[in-house]
Amino acid sequence: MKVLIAEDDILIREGLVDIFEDEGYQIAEAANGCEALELYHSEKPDFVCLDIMMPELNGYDVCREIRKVDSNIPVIFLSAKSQEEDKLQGFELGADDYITKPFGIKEVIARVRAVTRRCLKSSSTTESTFSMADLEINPKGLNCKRNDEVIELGLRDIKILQYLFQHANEAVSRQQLFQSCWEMEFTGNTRSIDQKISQLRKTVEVDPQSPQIIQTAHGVGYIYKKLD
Amino acid sequence: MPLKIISIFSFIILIPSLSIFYLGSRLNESEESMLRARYYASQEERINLVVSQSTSILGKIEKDLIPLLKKTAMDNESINELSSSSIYINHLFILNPKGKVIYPLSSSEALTPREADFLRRNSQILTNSQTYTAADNNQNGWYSWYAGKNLNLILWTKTDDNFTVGVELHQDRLKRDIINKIPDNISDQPYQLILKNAETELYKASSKEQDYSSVLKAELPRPLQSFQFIYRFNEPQFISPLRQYFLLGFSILTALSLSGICLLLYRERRRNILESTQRVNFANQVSHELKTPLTNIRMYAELLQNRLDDEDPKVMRRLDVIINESHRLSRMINNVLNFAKWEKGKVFVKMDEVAPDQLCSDILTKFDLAFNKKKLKVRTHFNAPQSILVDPDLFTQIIGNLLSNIEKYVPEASSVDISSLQNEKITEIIVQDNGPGIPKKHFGKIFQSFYRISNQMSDGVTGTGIGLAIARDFARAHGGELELIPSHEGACFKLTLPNSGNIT
Repeated sequence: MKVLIAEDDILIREGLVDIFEDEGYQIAEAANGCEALELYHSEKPDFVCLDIMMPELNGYDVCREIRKVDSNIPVIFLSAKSQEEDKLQGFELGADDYITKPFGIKEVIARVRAVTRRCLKSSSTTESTFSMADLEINPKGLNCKRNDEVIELGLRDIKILQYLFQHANEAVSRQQLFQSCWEMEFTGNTRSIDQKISQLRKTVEVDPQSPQIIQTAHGVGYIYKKLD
Repeated sequence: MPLKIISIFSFIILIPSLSIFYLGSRLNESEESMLRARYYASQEERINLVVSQSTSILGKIEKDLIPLLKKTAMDNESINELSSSSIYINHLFILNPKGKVIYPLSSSEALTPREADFLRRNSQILTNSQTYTAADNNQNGWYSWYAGKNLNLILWTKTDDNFTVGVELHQDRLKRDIINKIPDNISDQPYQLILKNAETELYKASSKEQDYSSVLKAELPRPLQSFQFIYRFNEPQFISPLRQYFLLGFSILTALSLSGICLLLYRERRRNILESTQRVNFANQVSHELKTPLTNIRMYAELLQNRLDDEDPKVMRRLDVIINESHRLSRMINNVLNFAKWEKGKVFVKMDEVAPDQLCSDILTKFDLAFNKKKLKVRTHFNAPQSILVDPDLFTQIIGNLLSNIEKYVPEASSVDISSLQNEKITEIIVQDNGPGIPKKHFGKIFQSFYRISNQMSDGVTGTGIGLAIARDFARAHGGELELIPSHEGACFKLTLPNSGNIT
């Protein structure tokens, strides 16, 4: 899934890029409104994140232009303008969400996941739910269920679980995992993989210290042991 | 300038100026009328004086002759004596009680031509009883008539035995004397005085030959009522034209001053509006500028946290501090910026359905770190489960400001009680601490902007003093109230809000 991020402050933009990449999205970055429109047409993202106060063309205008050609693509505004009238204007232009600065990472992630769920629901791909141990994973809903508890997941989380599920009882190397779930060239840096697994364990495992679903395969990588 | 303001200003400027001019003119007019009336009255007096002076001779004749006439005996001697007693007497005549002329007697052989002429001219009048009823009394009087152009003048009296005795007077001698008695100088101002009789001008005097604009006429008294004085004169300048110019000038000055004032007021208003707009724009601009670095601080601290896992609890804790302090910074910035945009009484309220207990809980969690630092014990007694209509942001600000004050002012290990109550109409939130409390003398003032109980830096307490002022205004914007309740220990604030959002 590809997201277009338009933000003129380089630090905020890079921070957002980090967050989105970690979540598992592909990014197209724009530093101003004109670039944003160009990239929208050339990169064809699945949804768009727009700052409002940008040079050349502001976020409202970019949204207007996009909505002229596509009334469905999700648009999220990320702005320091927090007055009632600013939000109203955003929604009137057809935005799906409006996040005010300063925002917390968790907040951004939660709202982006919500938007992603809507995208997945309307897409034609069929990905059925599957179970790993006592966890029922719903790829299109970006969540999983244990008994009645619903746990939210990110794109990459789903991909990792799917990969492990598909290679059940097979130890997979970090490189394999990376190439499959990260869609990037493996550079030999395993830190981000381990961190992600660690995070995922904290999210889905009953006891992250002794994981049942994503177990360590020493010397190789990770493994999902399917219990019969 | 909008039409409404133009019309208001025109009103303010024109009404007083025009009123001044109008009233001043009326005043001048009435003064002039009064002066004119007085002037004419004095001129009338003047001319009446002329009349009475010049005709005083008539009165004298009457006074002298009537007693003599009354005493006249019928004999020739006394008749001759009487005839020669006054130069004005032309001829004597006597009528018997029946009205017959017995002297001069037309049937007498001793009738002189002069007497005959007298009878010819006058007998008709003399025998007409009307002649003698024209007087004010029936005893004596004057009578005059015209035979052609000639004036005939008689004075008559009734005797004790009802005979009528009278004289015909030399009217030209009389006229001459009257004319002589006309005073030479009636007035210091130029004038023209004419005495005329029908068309004949008998006397004319002009101090200056020119046209005169005003005229007064006065008839001579009986029997010369056909004579009249014509007095011509000019009206003086009663009121100097300077007065009217001055009045005009003053009215214009008034109009100008009022215009000046209106202009100043308008400029002032414009300036105020501009300043207010600038202030709000500045606040918005600063807000935007500050939020960008604040966003980065928080975001990067959180990114760092994610990356570090549980490696070093001290590291995590320090990152927590950065994140929480950035929250606090955000709250403080919001407070200050709200204040900059805040105009007392003009709060924009956006209602939403809110569960007050839940919202209070949420607000409290944001203060967890700060309260824990000071080891404050927080107890909640929530009894307001019903949702009510409030503006959640404003509500958060109110409670947040109260809690923020507690954080600043109560000593360590104090306790904080937050309770809520609800009935059909209102919801009450009570925030009580057991700190030092607020001394009675400050009770009325603590809700004032910038008011702080102690300004001493040594107290170690920071704050700008605007929290309570804003909080109360926000409460009132909902139609509610924020009060300080007397309590036996610590400070107790009560927030009252209507359940169904009565916006003032």
